[in-house]
Parts: sequence; structure tokens; C-alpha cells
Amino acid sequence: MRSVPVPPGGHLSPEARQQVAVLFDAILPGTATAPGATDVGAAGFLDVLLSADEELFYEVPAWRRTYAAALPALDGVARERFGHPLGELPDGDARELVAALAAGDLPGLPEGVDARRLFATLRNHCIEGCFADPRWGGNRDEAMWRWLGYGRPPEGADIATPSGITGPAGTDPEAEAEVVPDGVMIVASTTELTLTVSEAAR
Amino acid sequence: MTVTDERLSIDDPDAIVIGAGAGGGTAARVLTDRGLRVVVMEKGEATTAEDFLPYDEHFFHTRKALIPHVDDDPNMYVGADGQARPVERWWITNMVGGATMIWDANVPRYTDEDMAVLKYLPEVPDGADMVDWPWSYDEFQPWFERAEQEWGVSGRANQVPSQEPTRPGYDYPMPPLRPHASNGFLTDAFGRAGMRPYLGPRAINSRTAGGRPACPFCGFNQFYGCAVNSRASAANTVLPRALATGRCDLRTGHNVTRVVHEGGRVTGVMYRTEPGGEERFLGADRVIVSVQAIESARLFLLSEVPDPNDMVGHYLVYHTHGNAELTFPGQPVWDMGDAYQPRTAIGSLQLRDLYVIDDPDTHLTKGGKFSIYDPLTCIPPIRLVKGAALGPDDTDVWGDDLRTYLEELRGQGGVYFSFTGEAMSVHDNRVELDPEVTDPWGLPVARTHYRHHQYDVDLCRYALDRVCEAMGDAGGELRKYEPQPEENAGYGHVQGTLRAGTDPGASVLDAECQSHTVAGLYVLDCAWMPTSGASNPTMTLLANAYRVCERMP
Repeated sequence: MRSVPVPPGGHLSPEARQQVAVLFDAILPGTATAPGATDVGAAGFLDVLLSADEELFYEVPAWRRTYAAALPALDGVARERFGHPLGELPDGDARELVAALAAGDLPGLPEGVDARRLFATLRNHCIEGCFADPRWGGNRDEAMWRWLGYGRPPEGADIATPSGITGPAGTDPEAEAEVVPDGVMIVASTTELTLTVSEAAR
Repeated sequence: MTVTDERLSIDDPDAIVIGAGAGGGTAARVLTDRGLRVVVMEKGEATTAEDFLPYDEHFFHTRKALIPHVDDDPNMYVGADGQARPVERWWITNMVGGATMIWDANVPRYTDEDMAVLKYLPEVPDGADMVDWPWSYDEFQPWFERAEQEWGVSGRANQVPSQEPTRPGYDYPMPPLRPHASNGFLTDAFGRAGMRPYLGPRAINSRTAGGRPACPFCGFNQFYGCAVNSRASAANTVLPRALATGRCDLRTGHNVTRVVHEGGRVTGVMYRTEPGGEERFLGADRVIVSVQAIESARLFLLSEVPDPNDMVGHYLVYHTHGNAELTFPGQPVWDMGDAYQPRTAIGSLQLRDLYVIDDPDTHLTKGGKFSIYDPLTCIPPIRLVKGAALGPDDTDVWGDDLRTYLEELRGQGGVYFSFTGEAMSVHDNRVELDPEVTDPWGLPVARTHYRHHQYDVDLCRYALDRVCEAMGDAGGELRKYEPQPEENAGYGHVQGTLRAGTDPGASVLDAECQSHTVAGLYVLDCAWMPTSGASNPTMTLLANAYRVCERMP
């Protein structure tokens, strides 16, 4: 197998994990009907990622250094500017903090931590934590996949077959499903497919 | 079907093939069929379909499990600032099957427009060095047919006038993959703009064929190994046939360090089986290189193949490439139906109406083609959502804007365009040996210099604007707009570097893709292509491999 066991996690302290959760939730907030980063435990993904061996993911040491330097600095900014520790920052303040990072306009970051690059790293890891396979520690119960409709219809979405479909848009009743010995479902169509485009002139 | 571990040992082969990918696998297939004894030297290892499970975007794509890592085995790219920096090599896949293990098997043919390019580019722009190919499309047709049959291509000839012409009576070996649910809407919308998309050919089974099942539409295609072998690769088509002859010795973990030649003839190769290991010699009077265009140029440079015209590594050319994504407010999200509906890019449309541009408002004449996808199903979600944008200048969105993008994605029909266009060949765009950085085997890595010609940049914008206008008229709103910038640190469609031609004073290889200066040394990856062409190149690579190897003395 080329795939690998998932690292154990446990890299982030509970405090750091909560700080990451606040930042991630500003990047992908939930709504009354849609899960956000906190709802699916995206910070747990980062905890697993940063616990990975360098041999597995060569970027890990650099990320560890980034978070180790950036989280205390952002905590300082949060306390100074908003009067709350980063881990307890209200939503609106967290949005303002992330906006400043995204704009590259956040004085007080330590040497070697660039605001825009830090924002890009946070955004990438937040999205990975929301949409990666749950075995990596985020996307709890596949909640993001289920909401988006990845690999299945989106939950509760208004789905209609669009007009103009002339081909076998959905099921092909003539298709014969069979199960091959290793359990993989395959389909062998015995019918000629109808094209959705008209026949060519030539 | 997988490559077996059992192998015979051939110590005095009639031919050595370097690289077990598309070109090398096909060469082994043809030459063994002709009775020659062949050793295939593959740097990577053999895989089986099970190696690609579980489907896992984070592991395979985001963390780049199947490609060399940029930290210790990069290409170096010299950007606009003149500084060399390490860059990813997304399409180098060191394993039996090569990049066909992770391709999306989009296999259009290059056509007359690509080969007789000067006819379609009557005014070659300043700074470009464009040449006609020494072969005609008609000459290539039987070889395309052979490749499409042996690799198992699904598709249908004669859907629209703009698609690749085929000989009377010919059709692909199996019908097209199931159409995507958006195809009807898009076909109508393009029809109102005078354009006609069609279902493109894919080297993916739409029916059980060749001992491999029909595609179950798992949703993991480009950059993933196919875990059911419904997608063709060198490892599940041509190589098993070569091995079955008993005349093919497939050696994995064999890294060829240089081609050996003497007095204008190839004599064999030097290779290592581990970094720092002993360098060994294997002799043959035919050596066939097919390790991807940049790497082939690198091997020519490492091997000091005589280069009297200063052409080895030059005319490196990437297609001009760009993307656009639109959403259709009010249009319900495309019905994905039950589990049998295509959930990935492969059942989607191609558009070749801008392959040749006939528009008095532009100087552009030679264009390119589009692959048309559903944004929601084109690629798995991490890569998709990272690219979230609400307009050409509103990228990397987050917070409420990211929510808006996601709501549109799941609630509205959308369309995603990927443009592949002709790019101008420029002498300065080139591959060199890096003076400082070495790979894990201690050899200098490739260093590329690349700037797109202004024609390429203009063409990509023109083509994207044409389809965006057509979609805008159908109610679409632009979300992503990513035209080709001048810089290009690397791209999957890589051609040129060892240009083939009939004039030994103006080409590296002859019309049989054999070195002008080292007899018996052949190149079968896209390095031989004199110019870029304007379609996914692998089908033309395959057809040429059949052509060259069936005629090889």
C-alpha cells in the first residue's frame, strides 16, 4: 500500500488548538444550516498534520515553526487590540484579525512570519481540515462532504434535472450492475448511449 | 491486470527502453511484437491498483504522494527576477506506467492544424520560431487508430464538424463515457453562440473491455491512481502485452544516468540501482528515451550528445493554458442522479470551435481547445475550495465570501473551462543542467528558463473571453478567471526540447525521432514535437511511438 497510517496527533496544546479553532472558524464560519470549521473539528486536522513525521510530509517542520511563532504573537495582538485572548476572541474580532492578516496589515508579528503568507497557510489548512478525508482528523462524520454534496447529492438542496438534457442524465435502466470479486461495483452498459449533441454534418 | 514480478533476464538486448511510461511502454510492446528482445529501465517501482486506495485527496494530491518532492528532487526555474527557485513537477510520476498512472486520459488527436501549423499561422509573430512538422495528419491517421484500439479509447467520431477528423468508417473502440448532466444546457448555450461542443475521447473504459471494467465514476481521476484499472495506463495495456511475449525484461529501480555513444553510434547506457551505488553498463545498439521532455533533454545534456546547432534543450514549449469558472443563478445544481452518473470531469464536453480563429477583430489565427467541466465534480473538494473566487480580482476568498462561493457551488449549476492553446516556440525557452542543485542520485537537476510569447498570453485571454461571453449570454456570472501569465514555472503539457525535423542543421532528431548525431538513439516522449500543438499531447505521443517503432531498423 502506498497510503500510510494517520499520525497520532497531540502536537498542539489545548490552548493552541483553541486558538487555531478561532482562526479557522473566521475563515470558514458555519451558519444555522451549514457546518463551519469548528463544527467539523478542523483544528483537529491541524493537530494531526503537525504531529506527522518529516519523512512523511517535508513541509511539517516549517509549519511547526510558523505556528509556534505566530500563535503567541496573534494572542498578543488579540489581547492588546480587542482585550481578549485569541482563544476567546468573539467572532467579529476574529474576522477583523484575519482580515488584517489577509491584507498584510498586522504590525507586531515576529521576525520571519509574513502576514499574507500566514493567512495563506491558515486558509489552506482550514480548508484541508474541513474537506479532507475524516481519517486525517477533521471533517467530522464527513459533515462537510455531506453538506456540499461531495460524492452524493447535497443535503437538503433543491435539485432538479435541468432542462435541455436529452441523454441518459440519470439512471440507465438497461445498465447491468455487477459486483466483481473484490467488491468494487462496476457497471457495464448494454445500450448505446444517446448523445446530447446533434449528429454532425459530415 | 498488473505487471508481474516475474521477469526473465536479458543481458544482450536488441533495444534498451528508458522509462516505462506512455512512450516506453508502447515501444516495448511494438518491438517485442516484432521479435526484438527489449530491456525496459524504469527508475520507479511497479504498483498495483490496490496501492491507490483509499481514495484520499489529502494524501495523494495535497501532500503529493505520487510525485518527486520539491525539497530534494525539484526542477529549478528561473523566473522574471532572474533567480532560480525550486518548483514542483506535478507530472513526473516515477513508477511503472509513468504519468499515465495519474493522467485524466483526455486523448484528443493533434490534427492538420497542429502539424501543418504555418498554414494556420500565416504571420509568425516576431520572436517566435514556428515550423511545420515533417509529417502530415493523413500519414498519422493509421497510427492514431492503432493507439486508440490498443489503449482502449471511448469516444465517437463525427459528432460535430470541428472535432478531430477520422477516416471514413472509423470509430473509437467503445462509445463515449456517460454525458454529464450539464451537457444539454451547455450545448444549447453554445449553440446560440454558433459553437458546438462534443463528447471527447478518453482512454477510460465506458464498457468492460481488455479485461478491465467500465468506469464506476468514483470522482478521483487526475493526480490519482485508478484503483479499478478502468482508466488505461502503460501498465495495464501495452506493458502486459510486451511481457507476455517473453522478450521484455522490465527492470524497476533502474536509473539511467547517461546514454553511452561512440563515433556517432549509441552503444548502451550507464545506470544505477540505488543512489551512491555502483554505476553499471548495459549495451545495445538501439536506445529509446521516453522520460518526459524536460528529463529527456537533461539526459541528452548529461550524456553529452553532440549538439552542433545549439538546440538540445531549446524550444521547450508549454501550452498556453487558462481557466474560467461561471455560475448560473437560478439554474438548479446539475442533477448528479444516482451512483452511476458521472461525478467527475470525464463525462464532459470538449470544444474545438476556436482551434482555428477566424475573427477580423484579432490578429490571432491559430487557437486551441477547451475541456468543459462541472466545477462541483471536476476535482475533489480541497483543491476546488482552495481556488474559491467570486470574480477575477476577488480570489482566495474566506469568511462570508467563502460561504457564498460554497452556497453557489452546491445550489447552482456552474461551468468550468480549461483552455489548452498553441504556444509559440522560442529559442531562449530552454532546459539546462542546474549548476548547483543535484537530485538524490547526485546528478544535476534540470533548470528551465521560460517566458510565454505575447501571442500565447493574448490567445488565452481571447479564448477565455469568447466562452465567457457565450456563457454570460446564457445567464452565467464569472467567478474564476485565470489567464496564462508570461511566467511559467512548469506545466503538465511539455513539448519540444529535442525538436525533430528533416534538416540536420535545424533539428536535434530526424523524422524518425532518431538523433542526427548519435545513430540508434531515439526519443519518444513529447520532446520530439517541433511545436506545441494545441491539444493534450499524449495520444499524439502514442501514435508516433507506434509509427517509429514499427519502422525502426
